[in-house]
Amino acid sequence: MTDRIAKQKLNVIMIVDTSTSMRGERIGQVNRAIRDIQKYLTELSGESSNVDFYLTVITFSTEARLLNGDKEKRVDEFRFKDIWAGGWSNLHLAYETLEPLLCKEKQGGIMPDFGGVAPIILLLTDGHPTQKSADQMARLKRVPWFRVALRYGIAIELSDQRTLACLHEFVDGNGDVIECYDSRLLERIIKIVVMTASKVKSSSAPVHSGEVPSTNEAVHQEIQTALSEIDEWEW
Amino acid sequence: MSGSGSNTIYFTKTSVGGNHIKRGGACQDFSASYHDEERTIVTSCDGHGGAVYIRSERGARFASSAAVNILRNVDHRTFLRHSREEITEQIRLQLLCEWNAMVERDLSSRPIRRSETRELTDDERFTLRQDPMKAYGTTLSAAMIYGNKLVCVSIGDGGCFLLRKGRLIPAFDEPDDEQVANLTYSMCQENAGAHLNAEVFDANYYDGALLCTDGVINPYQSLENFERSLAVPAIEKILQRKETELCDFVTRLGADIGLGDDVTLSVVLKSNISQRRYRTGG
Repeated sequence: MTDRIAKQKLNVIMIVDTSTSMRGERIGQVNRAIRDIQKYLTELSGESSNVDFYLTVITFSTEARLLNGDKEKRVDEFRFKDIWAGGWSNLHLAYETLEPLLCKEKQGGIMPDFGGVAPIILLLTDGHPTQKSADQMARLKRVPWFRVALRYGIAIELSDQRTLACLHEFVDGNGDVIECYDSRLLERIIKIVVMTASKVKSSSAPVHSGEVPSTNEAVHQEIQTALSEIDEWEW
Repeated sequence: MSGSGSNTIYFTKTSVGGNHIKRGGACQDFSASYHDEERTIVTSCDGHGGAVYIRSERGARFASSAAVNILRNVDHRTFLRHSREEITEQIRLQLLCEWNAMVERDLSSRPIRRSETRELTDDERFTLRQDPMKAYGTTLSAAMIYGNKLVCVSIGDGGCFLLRKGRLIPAFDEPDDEQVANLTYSMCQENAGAHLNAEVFDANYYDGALLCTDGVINPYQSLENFERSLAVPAIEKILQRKETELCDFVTRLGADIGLGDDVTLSVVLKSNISQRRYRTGG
């Protein structure tokens, strides 16, 4: 019976489109954002936060991969190497990679067997998926941890309604789709979404409510406020 | 509360969580023990903390009382006359009926007052008006040693474990477990019967049962960690009759070193089990 102050586990999962169209400025912004997020979450974990942060990065192009092959890493142990872009945009493979992660650890996933905070999942894409992903999405929606997750989609310089529909399908009312019209703002938007969500969730780790986590609504409002400031400054 | 019978040792402890202490809220967990010449029963219940569950601490008390009332009526004739499946089905149905009857009686004698719902949103008030039993939402775990039978009952995200040779074995396995984050099955849901588990185990094979609410188990995140860091040392303390130390630890787990949730730990053991299996060396 140890005397350690207990913390909940909070998984931040980033699904990054690394197709050819992401090359250059876009993937550079993503890389810088992930580095800063890691630093921020490491500091946040060390403070009087109720949670320990774990990071997972799934990249998808022609194939979907877990960055460094890691299902998850505690933020302070996460070793980030720049992501490179090139290939198709097989979103359905990213969903297939995500699904087994959202199981309990005893079933081979990354979610705790007991307790835990609903994860934050961020999907970034700049183009239409090469193949349909409806079947994979339908399977994901049957996964309890996916259903309670706070989900954000970032559409990078996209005016394609089919891809936006794909992101809305991913979010499905439990988060939001954010349209980034200028890839130079991508880093800032990613950071706002992940950092704000992490901060709100880490300060209000749920105490048994029997309801879908109400913190998701609080996160949504905070992010909207933060993003509206970008609107005023930049656009 | 702890004690021993002719063939059993039992322990129950509930303590208020740090978050409730800060807010001046009531403890929504509840536990009880019942003991007579033939049986020992322990319970562990966790009233929900969400806004609409305004009487969940009463719901938890009712669940605990219902479990004791139903299980103490199970006797040797029950086991002689009925199959195991029939007994577990009876226990499940009787438990649900008993809890629902207690809640209905409470609602009719103490209708929900406006002052109780002052903090709720219109939507939450509407939800309660549609289904006032929601106000009493709670989980329930209970265990009874009766002769060579070990009966376990559970609904919700609390722990209900069997003990054998220093190991913890989950008494029930939900095949499609929807209880993630802070979602849990509840006595107050319409289809509670579908998620209320009951089973009769062979007490000759097991050492006893350990029950807890999520405030106790969640900080440990995995079964292995919980078994190693809390369950086995707790059994060791009970067998060494150092229950006061265990009570102090549970109190601190709720108030200081846990996740801030209310905590309940309940254990029932056969008194003749090998202490060697539960020795931590610590």
